[in-house]
Amino acid sequence: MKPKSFDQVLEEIRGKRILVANRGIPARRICRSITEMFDAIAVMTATDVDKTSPATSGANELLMLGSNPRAYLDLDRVIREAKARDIVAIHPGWGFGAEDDTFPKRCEEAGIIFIGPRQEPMRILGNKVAVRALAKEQGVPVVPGSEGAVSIPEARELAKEIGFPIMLKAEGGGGGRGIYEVYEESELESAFSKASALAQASFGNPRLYVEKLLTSIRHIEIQVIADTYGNVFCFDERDCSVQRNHQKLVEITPSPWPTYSEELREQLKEYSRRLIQAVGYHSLATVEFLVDQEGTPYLIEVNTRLQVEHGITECRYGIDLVEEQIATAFGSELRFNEENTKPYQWAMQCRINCEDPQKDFSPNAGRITRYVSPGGQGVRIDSCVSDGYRFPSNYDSAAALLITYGNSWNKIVSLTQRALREYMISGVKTTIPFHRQIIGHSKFIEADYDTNFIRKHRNELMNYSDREPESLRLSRLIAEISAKGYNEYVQLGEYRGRDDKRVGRFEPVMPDFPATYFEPRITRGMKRDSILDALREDREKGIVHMTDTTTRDITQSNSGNRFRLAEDKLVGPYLDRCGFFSLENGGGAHFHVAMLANMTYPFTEAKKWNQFAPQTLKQILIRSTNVLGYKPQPKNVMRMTGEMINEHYDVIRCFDFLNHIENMRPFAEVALNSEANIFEPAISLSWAKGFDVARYLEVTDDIVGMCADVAGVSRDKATRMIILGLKDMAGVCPPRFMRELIGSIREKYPELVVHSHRHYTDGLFVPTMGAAADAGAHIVDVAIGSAVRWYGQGEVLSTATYIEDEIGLKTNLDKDMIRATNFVLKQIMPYYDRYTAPYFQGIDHDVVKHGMPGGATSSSQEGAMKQGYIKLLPYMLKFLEGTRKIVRYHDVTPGSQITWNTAFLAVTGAYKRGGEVEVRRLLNILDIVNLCEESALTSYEREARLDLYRDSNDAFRQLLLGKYGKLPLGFPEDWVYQSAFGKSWEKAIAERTEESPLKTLQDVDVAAEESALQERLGRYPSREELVMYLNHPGDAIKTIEFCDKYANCNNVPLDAWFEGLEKGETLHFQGDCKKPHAMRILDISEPDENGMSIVRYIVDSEIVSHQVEVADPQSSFKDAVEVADSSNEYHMGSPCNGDLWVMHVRPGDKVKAGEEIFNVSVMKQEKAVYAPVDGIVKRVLKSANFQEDRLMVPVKENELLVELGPPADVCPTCKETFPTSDCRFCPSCGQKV
Amino acid sequence: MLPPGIFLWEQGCGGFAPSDFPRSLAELHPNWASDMDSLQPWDSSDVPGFLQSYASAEDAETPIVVCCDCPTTMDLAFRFAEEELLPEWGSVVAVTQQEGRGQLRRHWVSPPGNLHVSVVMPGYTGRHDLWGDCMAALQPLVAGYVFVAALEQMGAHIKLKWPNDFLQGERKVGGMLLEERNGVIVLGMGINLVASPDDSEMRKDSAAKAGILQLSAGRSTPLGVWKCLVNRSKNIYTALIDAFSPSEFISLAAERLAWVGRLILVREGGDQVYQARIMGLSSDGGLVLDRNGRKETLYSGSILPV
Repeated sequence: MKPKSFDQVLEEIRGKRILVANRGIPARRICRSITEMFDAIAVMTATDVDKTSPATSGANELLMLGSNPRAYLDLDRVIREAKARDIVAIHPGWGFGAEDDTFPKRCEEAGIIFIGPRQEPMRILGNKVAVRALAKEQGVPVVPGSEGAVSIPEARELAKEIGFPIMLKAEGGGGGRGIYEVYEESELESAFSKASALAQASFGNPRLYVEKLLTSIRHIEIQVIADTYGNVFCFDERDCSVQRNHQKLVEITPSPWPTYSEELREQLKEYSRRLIQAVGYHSLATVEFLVDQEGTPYLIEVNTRLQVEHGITECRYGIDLVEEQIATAFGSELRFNEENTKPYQWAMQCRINCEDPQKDFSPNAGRITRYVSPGGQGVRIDSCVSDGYRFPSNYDSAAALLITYGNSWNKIVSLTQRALREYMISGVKTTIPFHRQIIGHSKFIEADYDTNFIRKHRNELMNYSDREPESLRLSRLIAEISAKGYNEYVQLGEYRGRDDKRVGRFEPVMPDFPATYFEPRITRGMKRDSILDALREDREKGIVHMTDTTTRDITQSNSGNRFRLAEDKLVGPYLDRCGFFSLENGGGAHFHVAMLANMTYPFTEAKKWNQFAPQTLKQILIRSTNVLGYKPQPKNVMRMTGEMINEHYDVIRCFDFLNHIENMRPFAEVALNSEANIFEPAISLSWAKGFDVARYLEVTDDIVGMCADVAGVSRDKATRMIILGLKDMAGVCPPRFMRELIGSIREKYPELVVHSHRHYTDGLFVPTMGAAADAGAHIVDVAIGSAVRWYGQGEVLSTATYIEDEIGLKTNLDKDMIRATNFVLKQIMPYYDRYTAPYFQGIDHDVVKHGMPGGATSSSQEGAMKQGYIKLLPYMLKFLEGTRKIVRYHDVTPGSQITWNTAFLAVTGAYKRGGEVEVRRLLNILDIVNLCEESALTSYEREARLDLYRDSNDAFRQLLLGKYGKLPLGFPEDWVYQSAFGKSWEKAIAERTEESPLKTLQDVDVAAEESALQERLGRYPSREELVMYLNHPGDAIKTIEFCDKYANCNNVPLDAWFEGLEKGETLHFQGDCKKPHAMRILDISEPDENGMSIVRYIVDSEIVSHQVEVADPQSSFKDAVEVADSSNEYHMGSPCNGDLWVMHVRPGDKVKAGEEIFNVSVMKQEKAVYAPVDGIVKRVLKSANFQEDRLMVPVKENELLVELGPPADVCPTCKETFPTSDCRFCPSCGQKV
Repeated sequence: MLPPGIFLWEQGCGGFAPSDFPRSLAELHPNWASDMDSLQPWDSSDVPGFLQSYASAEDAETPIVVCCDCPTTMDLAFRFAEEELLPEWGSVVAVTQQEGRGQLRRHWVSPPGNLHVSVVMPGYTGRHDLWGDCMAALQPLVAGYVFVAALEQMGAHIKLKWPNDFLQGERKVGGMLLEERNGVIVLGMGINLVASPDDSEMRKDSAAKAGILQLSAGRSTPLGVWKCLVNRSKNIYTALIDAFSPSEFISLAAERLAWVGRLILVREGGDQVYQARIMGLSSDGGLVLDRNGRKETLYSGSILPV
């Protein structure tokens, strides 16, 4: 037959229908060639899932395949339908039927042209065993290995011959699947059976063949095209070495590998030509080689179809391979020859998949919420996605092929980097950020990579955050707050609704800095010794310094800690110029709350402080062994945290609630080691019997002794190296006591700098601080007036006035600057007052009795109110007053929490047992215990006092055992143990210890924790993230993930943070990089049945829709489901979502621990639920008996199904069970109980 | 803990001496007689109460406890697992069982010659990878898939009726049930090797008619089939968890799913019955249905062909 020209073919095809039996990227790509060049009608197959996909836009018509998503594989159906639709030719694309060698045959039988090779050549080249034989025959080198599937002994024999390592490859495998690497003979046996099982599982064929495993190799392939007349053209190589598990990620032409030579290129082309010609193949094919370090090639396989990476060859030559493939299928003579087809460009392709590389490349389907495609010169995109497209889960994860082309390797590297930067896909995770890592990697740029590149550099490559632009992330957060009406992250519940009255827009007026000539006495950058000398000198001159606690302790106590870095940034620069000795801006609960509710990295916060307030010393509060948490930390964690603290804070105040000074040692070691940091060990103060001046002088001795020991200096020298803190956290010590205490300390240690801290709770702040100053304190703590409520510190100007006017001492403050600071703060506080501190704020002089410190007074009241026990609060306070005389320690964190919980549990426990009568009885016995001598107690009273701690919790028991450290006045009496530990009280007493918990606490395996965190984040944590995680693992992860998702929320203005935006309102905000952004909400829809509201808004110039869950989904359950409380052993919930099919019990039944109570079925899995304890069934919320009525009852995970009660008492006479616990006579036999 | 090998539970011998076994079991079914023949002689094992066969220890990679007659292999397997006698993949095979049960304690007919077995499945709560997170949901499907793949290696082309019944052609040749008690998961399986209920005996609402498993290799003795099946399943399970992520597994399992694209009848918990078309599997192992154009995911309930 005379060859047709290309133009003849054009004419022949015009207006005809050509079918692409494929979907997604290949279908769209091929349709493009069909319509643009041939003027033909492009028909595309589509299942229901795909019928509206973006890829279909390329087709003129669709050939519908119905609902079965796998219908693309139903070739008979495709051909049948094609026949009925007058299709003249079918292009199989890649994947699906493209490599099924019966496809050409079946097309031929149907009288349709198959755009691809004929069956026979396709069968030979497509079969790995056959092509190997052919290659040997043609003198093309192949990887040494078996000629076909082998048995284990054959494999062993062969492996000896070719040497380890070897690969076991599944006969049915391909695309990198079904390959098992074996490095040693000893592994062969088990690897073989595993690989065989795997091959069977994945490909339905367990047969394996053996191949030598080549190490450090490149994957190089040659694109070939041939016509039906024997003309063959080979293109330059594509380098596809960057692979993951044998799946290509990046493809490049030509290979940038320096070793790659023109000779090798010619040789590979020659090999390829031989293979193609040997079987009389026509159409496109790719001949794949592995090339080792020395440049020796081995044939691996031939792909008999169009390939995913064909586009880069097109760019290198400026041609259209698909167009040529179609033409040759219609009998056109190949137009390419060495004269007219010359390479002139470099090209690179990145395969962008909807996969999450950090989650082991797991595919993820879902709606694409934002799609911005790169453009500009040198960029080509073949994609199958668009904005709003719901990426289906039924097919592979390929989303786009990003190709760049230019005239050099360096050019395409830069082009790809730029294009990847521009490329944005939101809603689903993609490989884009991972590709950015690859293309930016120095080894990649140097072209120094092989097929192990990804595996070798995995850690560096995975170390990225998949982040969208800051403006978008922040705007989404604001949209969420706006839709809900409240900010769920501040952890204050639903504190307001969307339509509630607002405090209003926050547009702070920032006053100019007053022009003063004030000179600060102490500034950052001064050495420790000169600072301490200055303090002593000034005190000699009658000058008392002050520490400001506004942004830490006072707002912790008064505003639930929630003062954000955003507002710190506003007041900080003013505070910095007021002349304070130091600013307490971190530590205590603030550290935790930074992560819990402010979604801010605490040490980053500290770093920022030193930038916007560089002048004044910064001070932190830490809790000895608990550091910044609530339970003792191992020494190595303490030290790591300590180092981080040293870096950002100048003064380190450290206290221990037991005044067990040994507990501070690891911190002293870190802090005293530095010449810049000042260590301030503090004495926890209570005002009670036994805690007198003499006692505190002993503690001071301990402190001086410990510091001398750590620093390796004399006690005298040690007193000159530290500041002694006095910490009256409850605000209970009266002026006369402080005068006496400080006077005695100053007398005994004249060189020791004394820093006095107290709260306002008893109302005596000003005179007490006056007395402290009068007695010789060097520094006192105060705060800015507009932040002062009654629980934190007192106000600076009034305290200064009292000290100056009444006492006759001096202060060193810039009072005008304080007034300016106050003005700024006045504008901020209303928001915090409204949303973070809606509870009791007044003076509570009763504190001298109950001793609840600072913010704990209001938070404990809040707790009692929320749990419905407000009427019991007076009793709880009474209990506090009494128990403080029995178990003796200081009411500061965590002691105050322990005391409060003990009181709460004792009173509510008594109330549950017998109402207010029982509570009064409990308090009565508490009074008796405290008033009477042991010998005066009756046996009844001794028995009754055991009720006092029967409901106490673990923390209290740990305290009694000495697990927090040594109790300051020794262990309490034995009956306390009897009460708290019950039967095992003697064992508890035997276990008691007075050693510091540091002695027994095992160091944490930091490396293991780090890798756990790394696993969780999918990248390396920073040092700060690790320290956060070691201190508060759950909240650290929450904050880290929040910041990845929403960026730095301190860029959200105060009003938007608490109240969100109203519809139509415009909000201006700035990102971290200071780019200004504007956001306006267009609409917030009413929630749909799933509780989802759609917020439509404009950010800058882009319209964004964001779905927010604002309500619970309307469930089929009429009433809300009651949830089992996991901490309540009597609650039995459903183990999973499923169907309850048998309930064995009814209310009133007695059950034994371990007895099956009910059974839930899900997906033919039956989960039996057993009684956790002995007890009586109180409630059965759902019941089922499938065997009888064939009915199953749907249940939700954790839904409460059975509630048990404690085992009932039994009548001693007739042995009948009492129905309730308050029976006074046995209902059965009448026996008096 | 029992080592790999085949064991006889003395209490479950029905009063026969082991040497009498071939003869007494021949009366029950000739296949059992041939199984037992090949296991002679029995000797005492290191674990009291169990005799061990030293004849065919080589090809058993897990302990298999044979019991002549018992109420149900499920309870025995739980008991042995609790007593720390059976490790993961250890199993109990009964010649017959009195109270054999299917899903929801439905009666399971257990004529001698068929395979009735319970096997202790590997725990997953200690896994800290993707599998650890989703095994709870995927376990039934994984079990179904693994045994189907193993049966396929033995020459039987089996489709998986969601979530884990075995269909050969259109007939159900076996099924399984997973029970979890106190964190121990036992898989019970019944495979019709020699007998199946007649079509007239089947429950009105049962999903498919019953049939007898056809294996190419001609192996059909209960122990012969089980030894091979459990070895292969164990390997496939290990390889699957090793080499595939859960989402990849879902696509593998979807390929084995019966009736994809077909209209079926769905019976949920109670009386609710409706028609829907099977679309595939959801990422958490549920059956994705097209119910009048709406996509729904089924987690429990049964399906039957229309």
